[in-house]
Amino acid sequence: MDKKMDILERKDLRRNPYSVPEAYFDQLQERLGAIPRQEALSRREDSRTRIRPVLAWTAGIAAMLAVGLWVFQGSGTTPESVSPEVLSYEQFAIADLIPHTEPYIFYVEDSQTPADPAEEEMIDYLMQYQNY
Amino acid sequence: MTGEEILALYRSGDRERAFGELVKSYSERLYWHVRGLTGNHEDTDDLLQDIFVKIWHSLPDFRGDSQLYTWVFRIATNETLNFLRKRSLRATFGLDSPDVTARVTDPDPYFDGDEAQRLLSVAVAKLPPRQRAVFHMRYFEEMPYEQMSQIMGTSVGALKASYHFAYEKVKDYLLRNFPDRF
Repeated sequence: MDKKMDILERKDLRRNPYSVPEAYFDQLQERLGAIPRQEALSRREDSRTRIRPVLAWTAGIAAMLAVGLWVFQGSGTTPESVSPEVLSYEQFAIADLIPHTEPYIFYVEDSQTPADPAEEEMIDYLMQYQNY
Repeated sequence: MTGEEILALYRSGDRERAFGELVKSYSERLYWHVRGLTGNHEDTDDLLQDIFVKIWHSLPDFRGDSQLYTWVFRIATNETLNFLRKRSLRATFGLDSPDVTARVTDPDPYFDGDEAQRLLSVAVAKLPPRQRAVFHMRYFEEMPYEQMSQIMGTSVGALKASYHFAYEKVKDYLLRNFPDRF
């Protein structure tokens, strides 16, 4: 008989050599059965942990905007009572908001700008296209 | 409860109870399956927790294209193989004990086998993780190749070849290193 064949064909080698602590499987089932509840709790904790920094950032930005708005509007003072320094600051602030590529966003009317067409002129314009 | 009944219960909305039935039906079988691969009770206990957490999170996506038993075993086998690979890498980089086989039987208070079985466990632990899984499922669990194929996602032919090589490696190791024992 081939000696090599004898080794792994022995039935005693296939027997389970491992054991477990007493009552292990009962405790295991209890522990594993609790997983759905644990995972639900853990998800709630996670979302609370994630939302805190977001809330903090939001509050900070809101505070900054509020302060900025207060400074911008000059604390509710009338234009006449506003000092030249504040006025120039506001002009600076407005200028800072205008993108240099789109200066026409803030339209400034001057004498060179043609006035809006009169109603009569508009009707004449439309009539010529109606007849066309 | 059968796999089909558990799935029906889950889909009816009674998810926690369905999971409880799944634990009752499969936890012990999975334990021995994983234990055979790790060789260690503590590692197996930790892994089972991870495995069942993964099963809980994956249940909504289970399409039923395989039996529940096969699907559960596939998750367990993949998680265990990942664990073994990580442990092997950690050993390679000197982060853990260099001899990964030392955890297999020494000193495991929950190993009741004789010396021959201990040496066999050492020999099997020397196999690469995937080959070890194939050897364990065929030799110890006597699993049909078709079932192994569904669990491992490998063809029956490839599994037969893998088992044959693993079998010969284990035999050679035992005969070379312990000729008096075998």
